[in-house]
Amino acid sequence: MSGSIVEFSRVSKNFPGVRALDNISFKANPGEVTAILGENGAGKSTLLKILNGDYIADTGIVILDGEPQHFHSPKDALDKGISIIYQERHIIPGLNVAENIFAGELPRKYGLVRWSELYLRTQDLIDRYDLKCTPKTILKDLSVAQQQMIEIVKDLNRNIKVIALDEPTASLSDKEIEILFDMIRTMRSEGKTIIYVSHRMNEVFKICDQATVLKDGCFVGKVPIKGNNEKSLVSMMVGREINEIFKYEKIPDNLHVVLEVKNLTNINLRNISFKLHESEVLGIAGLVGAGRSELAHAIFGADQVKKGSIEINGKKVIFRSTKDAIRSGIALCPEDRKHQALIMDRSVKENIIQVIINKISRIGFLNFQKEKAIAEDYRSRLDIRTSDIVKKVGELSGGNQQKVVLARWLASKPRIIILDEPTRGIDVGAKSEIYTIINELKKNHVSLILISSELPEILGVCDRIIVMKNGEISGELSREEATEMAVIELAMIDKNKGSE
Amino acid sequence: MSEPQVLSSTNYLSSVKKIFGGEKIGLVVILGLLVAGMTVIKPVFLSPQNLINILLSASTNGIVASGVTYVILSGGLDLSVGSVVALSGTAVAMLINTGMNSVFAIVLTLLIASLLGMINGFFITTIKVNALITTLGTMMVYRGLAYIISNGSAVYIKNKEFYSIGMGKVFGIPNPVIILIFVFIIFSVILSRTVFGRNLYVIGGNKEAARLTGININLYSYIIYVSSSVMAALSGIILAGRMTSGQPTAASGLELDAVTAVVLGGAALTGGIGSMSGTILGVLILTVFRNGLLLLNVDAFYQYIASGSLLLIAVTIDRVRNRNN
Repeated sequence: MSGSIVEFSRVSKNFPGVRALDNISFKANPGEVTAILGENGAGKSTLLKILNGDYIADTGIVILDGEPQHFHSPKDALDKGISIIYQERHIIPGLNVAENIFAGELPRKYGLVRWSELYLRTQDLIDRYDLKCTPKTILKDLSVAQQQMIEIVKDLNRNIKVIALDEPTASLSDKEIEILFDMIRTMRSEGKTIIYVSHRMNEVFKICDQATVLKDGCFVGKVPIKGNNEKSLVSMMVGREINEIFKYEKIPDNLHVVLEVKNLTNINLRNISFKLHESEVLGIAGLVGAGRSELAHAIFGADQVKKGSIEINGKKVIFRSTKDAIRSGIALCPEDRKHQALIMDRSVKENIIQVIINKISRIGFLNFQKEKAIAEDYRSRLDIRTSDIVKKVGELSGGNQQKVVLARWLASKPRIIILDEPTRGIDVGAKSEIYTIINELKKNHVSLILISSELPEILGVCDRIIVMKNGEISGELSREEATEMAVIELAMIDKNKGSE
Repeated sequence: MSEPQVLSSTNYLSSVKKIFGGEKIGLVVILGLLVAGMTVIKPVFLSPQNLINILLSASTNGIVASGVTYVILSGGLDLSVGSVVALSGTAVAMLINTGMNSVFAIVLTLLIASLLGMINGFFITTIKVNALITTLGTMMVYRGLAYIISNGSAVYIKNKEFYSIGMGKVFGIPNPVIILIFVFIIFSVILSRTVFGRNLYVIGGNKEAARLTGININLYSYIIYVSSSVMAALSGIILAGRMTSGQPTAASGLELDAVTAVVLGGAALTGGIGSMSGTILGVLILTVFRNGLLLLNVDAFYQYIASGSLLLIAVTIDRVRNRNN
């Protein structure tokens, strides 16, 4: 069965406070691999979810072979022949290849499974797509790439016309990627419509025919891969104005080094080395999954370190737990405030004094006056908007919740603060307030590491920027050198390109 | 005339709110209705003897439920407590029958219980076995041990001095009730006024946040499971005093009564939500309810249905109210 023409027509989607997609229109044709490119937050995943019926567009429509579609669930989309392969597997690891491919529609007679027919039909599929397994191989004994291909074959077996792959190579080795690409080429020759979402530029040039570029939820353009190069595509993704809300103030040169990381290596990181100076804001840029949060966790003693060392003020330190890091004056405001930071059912006050609770207690007994005084102090200093500090923190807005997380760590009087995505999902007003806090901390000789997926923020706030890719540092830029183009090139483009 | 009455009733309501916290109003009302209803139907309910009976049977479950409250607050579960009650009851009886001083025997039994708690803690925190599975396993192991050391039959305690822990009275109040009140007070104070208690809420409410703010979660888990076992042992020792013997069959199903009381008291099995005042109310409601069924001569088989329904109704009310919030 061949593919369908997929057309997005003026598709828009809003989330509270964010315009995720703004009037997107383009087509993907059968027999072609169409890449969707863009930075973090450009709207790629949202677009796939609309195609798939997971989200419903606010306005605009998906058109399939000229027929407007109204999907309300992934099942509606699947019935029309649209399938999305996500990074997470949806296989059943304890069952074999045949059972996985035919799950839910095993060939039956009188209610009993016809095993011989099942295994014959599976063998046909295995031969057709050159899978290196037998129908009776148990899925958990296969590699990640093979599991992924079983998943694709499972969909292909159900008359799929449009197949979208979301970062399919994220956890694959180079050799496995080649096998996957062979399969994609087979599907293309069969005339399927293939949509390919990836951050990896070299892959896009290897396997795709067309590239659609999104930026901040807007459609920038659709261009053929032939006749373009990586730089020309990257230049389509950038180009924003950096406005005044960052209130940047330059720091003097030659400030002393407060934190030095040397050759830090663990399961997610390879040979990370950098220095952080007094009063400096060091930005860490990179794509989602580049290892930025993992680096923060490793420095903070939350993840194990295999190799390498950390020095604070020239002295080597070893953190066996986050407690050791906190004692050395480090703070980490984690990426996900709901799951990693706040105790949603407890009060604003309790959340603020969480880290310093031992310091302000008397032989293990809580000091309610002091708790209240400190919490009130930070409420007014950071302008945390809540009617009462005994209110549950879960009832506050995102921006105010973020300020509670900040207050908690500021109360511990740290010398080094790591902020992981501090402005994610909060409104512009709260953002600007957080930048003000960052600048005040700088003036008070606190050093900061800012991890952010928002390029304007990284460029606007930081004194220096390091860019990460695949668990490594791919480059360092001074504030003067740093442009969106320079950062994205370091984050996306491989230095040593493949052979094709 | 009517105005001051309204005022006083709102005053009364707000003072109840202060004592038990706003969310506990529903439980206080349920308990009040139970007491009022029983008093009307069976005036003997309010007799001093019956009230003492209620408090005595509340003491067994109440002491155990206090330890279990900490476990559930931290996001765990301890199903081994019923077996620990039986094992420590038989152990203390046998130790005393060797001629050991009662106080020594009690202290030694509590030490054995803390070892049992450490075994739970070891599997849950160090080996990382699910708490339900771990304590389901140790529940059977500890019960088996109680049968083995006692040869499967009750161990009669020869030293009559020991009975006073279960049968003695101070100013007319039975010792088990006094111990229960002490336990409630200590557990309440620790939970609401110490760093340890506060951190229980943090661990139960958000484990990753607890880890990232430097709380030693494993140490806390050990302490929690040890305290749960020690409380169960205390309850078992008192029960042995009341029954003048250690019985390996004692307290079967008590672990579920304890969980029922804690959940009735508003605790979330996912952790992070709950209080000692809630547990107190949960224990009282459960005990008064059971006592009422006995007084009304309800067939034992129907009592199961009634107790189960009580739990389902209470948590349903709680869920509906939370959804409205």
